[in-house]
Amino acid sequence: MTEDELIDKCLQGDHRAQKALFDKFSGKMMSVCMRYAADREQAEDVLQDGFVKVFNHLSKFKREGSFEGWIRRTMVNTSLDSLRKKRADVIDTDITEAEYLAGSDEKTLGKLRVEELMNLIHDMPTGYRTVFNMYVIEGYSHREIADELGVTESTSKTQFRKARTYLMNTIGERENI
Amino acid sequence: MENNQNHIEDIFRDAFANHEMEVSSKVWAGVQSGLAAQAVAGTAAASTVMFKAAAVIGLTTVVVIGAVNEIKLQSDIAPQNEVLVIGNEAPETQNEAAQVEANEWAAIEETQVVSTPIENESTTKIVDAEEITPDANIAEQVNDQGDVASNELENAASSTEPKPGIDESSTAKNSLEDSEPKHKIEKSKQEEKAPQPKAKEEAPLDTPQNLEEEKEEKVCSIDFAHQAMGYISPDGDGTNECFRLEDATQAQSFQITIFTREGVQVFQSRDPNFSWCGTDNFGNVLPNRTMCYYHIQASDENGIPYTKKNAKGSIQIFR
Repeated sequence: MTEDELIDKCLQGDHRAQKALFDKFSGKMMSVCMRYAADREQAEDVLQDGFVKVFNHLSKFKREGSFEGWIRRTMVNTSLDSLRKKRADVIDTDITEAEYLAGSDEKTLGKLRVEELMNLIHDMPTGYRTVFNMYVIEGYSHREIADELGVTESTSKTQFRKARTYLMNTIGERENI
Repeated sequence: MENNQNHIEDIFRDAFANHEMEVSSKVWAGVQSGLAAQAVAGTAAASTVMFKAAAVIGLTTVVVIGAVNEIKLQSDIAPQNEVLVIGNEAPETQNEAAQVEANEWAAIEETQVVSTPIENESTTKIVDAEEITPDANIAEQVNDQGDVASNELENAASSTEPKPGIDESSTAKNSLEDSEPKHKIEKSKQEEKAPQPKAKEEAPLDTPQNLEEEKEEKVCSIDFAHQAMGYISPDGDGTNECFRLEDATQAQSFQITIFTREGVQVFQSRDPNFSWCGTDNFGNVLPNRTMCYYHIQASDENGIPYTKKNAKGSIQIFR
C-alpha cells in the first residue's frame, strides 16, 4: 500500500489503516516526543495526543510535502503545547549558565550512541532542551522558535548557546572531535 | 572550535534523523479512545450550536416582534434576520461555527433568559419580550463589546415597550418557526434523550434569578459550561466520548471527583482541563450504562466556592 492509499483509507475511517499508519510512524515520532518530554510517560502522552491530532486533521494534509514531515511537525507542536500547559514559561531564565569545562569526560561525541545523546538531551533543563531540539534537530529558525515559545529571538539564541555549551560541557571534549 | 560546535549539531541531527523508539502498546489504545473522544467533542459542539441556533431564533423572533410592532420595518429587518438564521443553518461545520460564533454568543447568552422560555405560544412570547428590557440592560453591561446581537436585543427591548399587536407578532413568529434549524434542534433533542442534563447545562443562564444573583456582591465569578449532556458514550463512534468542562480554567482551585452509584471513586482530578472518558482509576473501562455522579469543588480568585447547580450531577455511560 502506498502512503497515499494509506491516507485515503485512514480518511475513510479504516481502523486497520489507522493502525498501520500508527505502526509505521510511531517509533520515529516516539523519538521526537521523547526529545521534548521530561520522561517516557509524558512522551507517550504527547505521542498519543499527537496521533489523535494527526488522524483528526488528516484531511488537511495537502499531500504536497513529506507526510512524515507533516506528522513530525504535528508531534513537535503537540510537544510544545504540552510544555506550555505544564509551565507557563518554557524558558526558565533562572538557570545559571553552564560553565564550560572541556575535557571533563573521556568520551568523544563520535562514540556516543543515540541513547546516550537522548540522555544528554534529557539532562538539559527544559528551556535548553526545547530550543536545542527545535533549532538543531527540527531546523526551526530562532525567529520561529521565539514565536512558538513566546520569547524574544535573542532569548532563543541565548538558550541555544547555553544548551550547546552545556552539552559540550557534559560530554567533555577532545581536540579534533 | 567553531568546527567542533557545528560538529556537535551534526551529530545530534544525524543521530535523531531516523531514530526510532519502542512504543508501548497502551499508546495505540489511547489514540483510539482519544479519536473517539474527539469525535464526541465535535458532536457536543454540534448540539451546542444547535442550541445556539435555537437561541438566535428566539432572539430573532423577539427582534421581529418588536420591529414589526413598532415601525413595521419588516423589509429592513428581514435581511438581518436572514443573516442570523443562515449563520446557524449549517451546523455541519459545528466546530468552526462554534468558534466563529463565540463572540456573538457571548452577547446572546444573556438573552437566553428570554429566548429559552419562548417555545410555541405566541402569547407568552410577547410577555417575555416585554420582560427583556431589564435583562437587556444587564446584557449590555456584561458585554461591553457592544456586539451586534446585544444591540439588536436592546432594539428589540425598546421597541417592545409599546404594546405589541398579537396578530402580527404571531405571524412573524410562525414564519420563523418554519425555518429549518428549529426542526433540527427538536430532532437533536429527541435523539440525545438527555433533556435533563441539557437543562442543567444551561442552568446558569436559564433563569432571571441567576442574573440577579450575579448582581450580588458575594458571587462566584466562575461559570462552568458542561460539554457532556449528562451522559457520555465512549464507544469510539465520535459522539460525546468524554466528559470535560469548558471555562473551568478561571477557577483558582479546582477538583472534580466522579463516583459510581455504589460510591466507588472512579476519577479525580485537580486539572480543570481534565477529560474523563468512562474509565476507573486504574484505566479499566466501566461497563455500559454505569451511572456515575460527579462533584466539582472549585472556587474563584476571591475564594468564593462554586455553588451553581451544575457543580454536581450525574453522567451515565452508554457504549
